[in-house]
Amino acid sequence: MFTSSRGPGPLIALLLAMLPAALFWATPLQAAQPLRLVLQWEHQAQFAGYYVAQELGYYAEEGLQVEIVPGGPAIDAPTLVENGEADFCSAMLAPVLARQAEIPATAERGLVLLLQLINRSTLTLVAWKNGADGHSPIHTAADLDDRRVSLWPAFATAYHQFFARQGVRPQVVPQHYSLSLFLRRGVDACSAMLYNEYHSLLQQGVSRDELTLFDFHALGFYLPEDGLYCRRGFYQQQPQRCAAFARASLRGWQTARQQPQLALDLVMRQVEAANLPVNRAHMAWMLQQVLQAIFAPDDQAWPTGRLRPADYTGAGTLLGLSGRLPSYDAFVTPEARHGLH
Amino acid sequence: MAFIKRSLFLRLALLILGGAGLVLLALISLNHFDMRRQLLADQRQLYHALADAAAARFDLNLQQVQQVVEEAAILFAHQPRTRLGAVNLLEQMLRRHPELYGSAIALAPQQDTVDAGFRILYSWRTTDGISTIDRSNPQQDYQSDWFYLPEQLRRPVWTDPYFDADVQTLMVTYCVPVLVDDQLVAVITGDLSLAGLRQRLGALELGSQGQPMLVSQFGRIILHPRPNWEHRETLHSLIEAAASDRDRASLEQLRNALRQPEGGLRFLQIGNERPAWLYFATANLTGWKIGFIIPEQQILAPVVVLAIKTTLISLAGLLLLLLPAFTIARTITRPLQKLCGCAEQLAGGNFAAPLPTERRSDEIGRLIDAFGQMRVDLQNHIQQLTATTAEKEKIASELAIARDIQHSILPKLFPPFPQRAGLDLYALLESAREVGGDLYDFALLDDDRLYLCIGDVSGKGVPASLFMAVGKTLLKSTMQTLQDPARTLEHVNNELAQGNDSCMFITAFCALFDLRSRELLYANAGHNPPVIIEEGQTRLLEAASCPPLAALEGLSYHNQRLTLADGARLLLYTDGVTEAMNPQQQLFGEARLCQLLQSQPARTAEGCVSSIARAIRQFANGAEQSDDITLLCLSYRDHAAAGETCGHNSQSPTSLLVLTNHLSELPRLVAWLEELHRKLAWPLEVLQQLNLVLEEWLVNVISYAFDDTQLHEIELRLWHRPDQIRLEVCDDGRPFDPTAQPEPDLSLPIEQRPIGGLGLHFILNSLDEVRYQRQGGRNQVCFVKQLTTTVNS
Repeated sequence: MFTSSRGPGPLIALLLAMLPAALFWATPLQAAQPLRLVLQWEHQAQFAGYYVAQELGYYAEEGLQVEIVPGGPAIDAPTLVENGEADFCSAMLAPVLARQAEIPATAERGLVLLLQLINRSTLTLVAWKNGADGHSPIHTAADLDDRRVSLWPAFATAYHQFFARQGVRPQVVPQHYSLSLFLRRGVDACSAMLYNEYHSLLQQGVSRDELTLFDFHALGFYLPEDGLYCRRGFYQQQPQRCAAFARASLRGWQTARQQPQLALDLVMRQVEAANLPVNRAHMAWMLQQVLQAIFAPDDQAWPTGRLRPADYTGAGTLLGLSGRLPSYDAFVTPEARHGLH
Repeated sequence: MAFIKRSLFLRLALLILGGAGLVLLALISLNHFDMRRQLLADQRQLYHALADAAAARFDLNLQQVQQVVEEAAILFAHQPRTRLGAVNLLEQMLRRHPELYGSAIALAPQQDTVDAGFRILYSWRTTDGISTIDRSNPQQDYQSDWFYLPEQLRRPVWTDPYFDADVQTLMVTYCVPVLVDDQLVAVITGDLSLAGLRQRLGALELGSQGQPMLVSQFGRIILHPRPNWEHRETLHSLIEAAASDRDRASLEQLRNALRQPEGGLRFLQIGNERPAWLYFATANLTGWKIGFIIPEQQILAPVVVLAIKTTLISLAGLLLLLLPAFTIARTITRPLQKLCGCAEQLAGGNFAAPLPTERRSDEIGRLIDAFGQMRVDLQNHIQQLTATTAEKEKIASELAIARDIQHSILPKLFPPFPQRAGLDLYALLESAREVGGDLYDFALLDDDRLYLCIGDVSGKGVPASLFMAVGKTLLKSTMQTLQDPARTLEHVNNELAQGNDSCMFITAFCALFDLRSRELLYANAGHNPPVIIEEGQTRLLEAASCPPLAALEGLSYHNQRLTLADGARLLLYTDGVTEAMNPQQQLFGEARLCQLLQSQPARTAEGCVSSIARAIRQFANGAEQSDDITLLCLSYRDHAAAGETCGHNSQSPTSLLVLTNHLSELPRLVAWLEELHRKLAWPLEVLQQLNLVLEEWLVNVISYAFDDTQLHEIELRLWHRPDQIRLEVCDDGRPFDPTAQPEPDLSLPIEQRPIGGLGLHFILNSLDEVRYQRQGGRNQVCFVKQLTTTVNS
């Protein structure tokens, strides 16, 4: 689900970082308190724009005091926002929709979308070109039939739709936080984010020409990913504030696009402070890929920061949640509908 | 480096030092490089072995853990699943196997945990002993590799290193699935802590700077000298992040090398670019690469130490070499120096300076012996030379004396007969050596007869000179007795031929000249024919040649007669004249002699002889004189009338002076008068008057009397009486009668007076008497000056 190149690294700092969050879990938020943004995973370049907005004072310019809290394997960011323990969160559309499908469409605790950052899907399926055993090539989706494939549960539905469309029935096993099974050739193919796991594979000695990459976006599966969410109730109470927050955040992302080195430095600062086992080269790749997924190469591809209705519906279909989701207007705030000004 | 050129000692010493030193250095260098190579190879082998050993030990550890966990899995599979049983099993494992850090038993998610009483148990080694807990987050554990991998792979597997939150430790785990009826029942694990691994690796002898390195099978860096790379970077991420091309190349080199199961390579460290070596081997059970990074400095350290030792030994060796080098050089240069000092002493004359005392049989010894011998020989030689020189000097001095004696027996006073006016005779003898064999002689036998002789003894030097002395004396005395040239020659020939063992002979020409009749009576004994110069013509006086004297007894000689014209000149000479040679080996010859006499007629005998001598010298042009040159020139002018003008026919003048017609002769006049003034005690005014008069007259004569450019003689004769002085001046110029000149018109102003005349006037008035006669084509003027009877004070 939420993955990073999760190698072992001292997570002591991580636990320590969680302590202040634990203190705040008990008490509901007050309007005068700093706004808390919880990230969907541990600090990494995936959240560069927020670091930039924070560091360069964009939140402050909007009159906001913001606290950025990392996620992790034990933390479910949307849940924290739902509970009111955080004001905003960064999360992927798929798990958020999955959750929204289970609660009333207009519940106050439901999440609304403030900013659709990653519009271009980065979800992929990575396969051994010659199969796990080295003798059974996988060049096309058709070759996936009856092959062992590990999939992230959060995207399982989407993958199955993909398989169904290709007319293949692979043997699916769940995939968690590491690529060890794939590396050990325990499966023929695995889930990977283009900006993360794919590059991790490369960094662990797998060369590009050993792999067959099934790029969902390229294959016509449009599933937007990272977005900025807040609680519906909170939005209804303080729409201006939420808009301001979204605005500043998007500005941060725009600056990150213009000054990637600065953004990268800020990312590495967070990473090193948290003593996370990631290297700069990986963060650089991640930043580059994320920026490409946020900002369209031209205006025709997608509007930056906004979720199109068709994409919302399509996502629902891909995830098999059609009919159970809130309406577009109920889920997508005007900011994410029309853009920020 | 001039001082090296000047010192044999230094050169030798340096040569020996240099040569031996070079050889020494070469040997040591070769040895050094050989040892260096060997050392490096040994070092590499050592680290290879270390890497192998570390990998093997690691494998051993892993092996042990594998065994333990597999055994435990088997056990667990067959024992009832109870908490107690599980805990016991875990704790036993840990107790029996100290290499194990921790162990877990995790029941599969679908298993019934109620009966079992646990889900996931974990035991691990703490400082107090062994602790066992229930895992706090089983859900998370099920998603961790240590459960997930064996679950999916359905076989035992080693995980990658990871951080376990429950025990806050970095570890690596062997996880064994427990399968019953092909169903996963549980997973049993065994942990190795990375800290323990690091400790064990660190315990290996890596030297002061060597450090271990661990890289996972997927290139993740587990252990590295740079801690911030551990668990973050992989071999590939490092290449991605390489700051420079060189770094990238180095990292790629490392990555490629690490694909091999084992090896060693040299690389440049990232950042500081210092060379280091990596030796690694593979721990086969996990596929990890265990290696050691050793800075090259450390590997080369023993080599450096070796190099330093080698250098020091070399230097010591060279220093030691100095001693024999200097000693050898000294054994050569010291005796040389001593010899040098000895030679200097020798040059200064000290023959007693001590030679080097060393007795040696080598080159130096031979040199010393030769030097000593040379010294002795030199001494002897000098002594001989001194003796010889002394003798030579004695002989030379005796020769000099002999020369003086020889010269003194020849008449040398010229003019020899001043009382015989008109008799002009001059002779010259230039010997080739100190003493010679030429002779000449002349004497007045009586008032009217003059004896002449010239001769040449065969040979040269002392023998000829002795013979010459005898011959000359004999000729003269015989002539004085016999008064006949031929008879004289006969007599002298017989005398000399007697007992002439040395076979020497004398060529001679001897003659008697009658001054009244002007008849020359002569005989020639093999001598060069004399030359007659008459009326400007030269001819040789060919005589019937008779053999030289002293060769044979009993030879007869003949007289011949000749009348010499007035003013004719007779020249006697020896073959030293005609056979004088120039460097081109040409002879002077009679022809040249005659030609000379003809072309340059001298006015006096002395002038004639001098000019011939000069001509011979010029002709010889530096060639050595090979024979004595003897010349005798005679001319007789009958001046019977001389003195007539002055009324002193019978008396010969007190003094005669002959001048040539040149103004430069006037000082001779002055000197002559001075001499006479001194000798005859004239009053000063008389001298002055005579000076003025004669000067005036002679200037006139010289300036106006002669039309040609020839040399003419002006004869001055002086008769002295206590009461008067008479001077006769004769010249052969134009007739000029001083007494017949008109008186100058003294009344005319100077500008109007004709030139001349005043001087004459002065002369006529200064003297008491002036008489003139023209006779024989000559002007004869007589000046008389009365001397006052009053004696000058």
